[in-house]
Amino acid sequence: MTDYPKELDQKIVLGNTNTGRSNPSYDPEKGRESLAKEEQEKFDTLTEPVCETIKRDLLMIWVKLTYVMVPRTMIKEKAKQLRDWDLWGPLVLCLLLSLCLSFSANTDDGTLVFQIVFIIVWAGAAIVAINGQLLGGNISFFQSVCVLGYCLFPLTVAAFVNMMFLQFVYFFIRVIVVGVAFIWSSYSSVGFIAEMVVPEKKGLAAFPVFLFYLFLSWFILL
Amino acid sequence: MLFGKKKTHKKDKTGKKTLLTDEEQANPSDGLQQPDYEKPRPRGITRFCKVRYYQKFFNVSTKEVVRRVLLAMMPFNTTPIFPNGKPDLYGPLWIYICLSICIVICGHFSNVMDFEFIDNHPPKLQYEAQMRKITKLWFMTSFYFFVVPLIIHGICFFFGSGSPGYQRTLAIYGYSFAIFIPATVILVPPIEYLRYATLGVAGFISLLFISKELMDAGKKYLEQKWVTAIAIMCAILHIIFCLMLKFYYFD
Repeated sequence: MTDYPKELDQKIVLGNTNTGRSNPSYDPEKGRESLAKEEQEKFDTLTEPVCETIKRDLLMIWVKLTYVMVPRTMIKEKAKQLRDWDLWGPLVLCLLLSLCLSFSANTDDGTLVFQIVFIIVWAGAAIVAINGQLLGGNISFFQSVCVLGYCLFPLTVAAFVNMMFLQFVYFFIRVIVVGVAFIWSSYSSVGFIAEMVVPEKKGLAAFPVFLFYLFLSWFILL
Repeated sequence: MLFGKKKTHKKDKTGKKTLLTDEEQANPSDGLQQPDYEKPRPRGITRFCKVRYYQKFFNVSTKEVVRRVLLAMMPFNTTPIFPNGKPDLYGPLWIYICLSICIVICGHFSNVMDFEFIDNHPPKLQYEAQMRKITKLWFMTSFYFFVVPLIIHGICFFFGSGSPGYQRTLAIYGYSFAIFIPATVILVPPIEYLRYATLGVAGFISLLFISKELMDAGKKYLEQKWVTAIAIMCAILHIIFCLMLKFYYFD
């Protein structure tokens, strides 16, 4: 096996003669849009170490999570951030939620609960996203699913707290904890969802979101 | 619309494509473009697969939907629910989903309260039994929301001189079930006479709304015997619905 020199290796992978280019700077805060068009074409993850790719993806998820969770007054910033949708965050949060709920259920029904919650999260997000499009919304299907998935974070935290600490406490305290999580989730996501439709239809787009989180909150309280 | 790609070109009225300037690309003017439902409708066999085909049924504002739901819950005057004669499908669809969710949640809460206040046994949560109940509930509500209006439309179409249309009967039947959503909340406390009274009132109001909306269509398109047949069928179906709610879900 001949060892190709490093520059030739890059040439083969990048497919051009300009091998003097350093790794283009990807700033997760600004997203893919900040890269110039040339850089986007040459930006590939084949030549960098795996832990850098993973670190960058995790940072991306974390940045989106903070943008979505901390209430900010500038909605336009948030909207620009979320044009760069990804489904890793929603998947991780959905899996965590399903695992927490299946552990806190009886051992016989653990798998059934996991299946139910997983299907409800994805089917519910799809229905709400399609509803937004039917009302004439102008963000895409996957962007809505991404937003709804990231806004599951408070409910996941509530399910975790419920499972670890509140199993034998009064029902009333559990209701308060889950209620706070529900209000936080709904408030975060309603801001995005309502922005994507005409102002007269804000309530129509927000109501299904409210129903979706209400159903999940009830599931946590079961 | 699926992946949210960035727009790089724009089309003017003659259909000619021009490149967007850097400014326009950086700040897309969301919401100021022509809304999807005003663009030309999709044609051909695959039009049922496109979202734009169904957008014309969802062309309502929040105020209008709230007005229609309130009118459906209190049908005591003669204002028609669809002023332009154009029914919307947003109301019926979300009333269907909301009603299913409310019945499931309130049914569970009423079981919990029954156990705690009457039997003093801790409620054992059996997911299998609950899932079977939920599946039966889904079948029942789907039947009431989608099949019964189809039957009414079919009777008008085949045995009468015309029909108000499946969309209209679907919308009217959907809105008539709006009264059952507050009714399920009131059904939670384990007080028997309150449950019977609530179901009676809800069923009566629902039937009153349906008859108010469909009466003139019935008189226009059907003979008297068919109108009475449909009225009796609707009344019996509503009674079955109320009894199922009482004995199966809120026992």
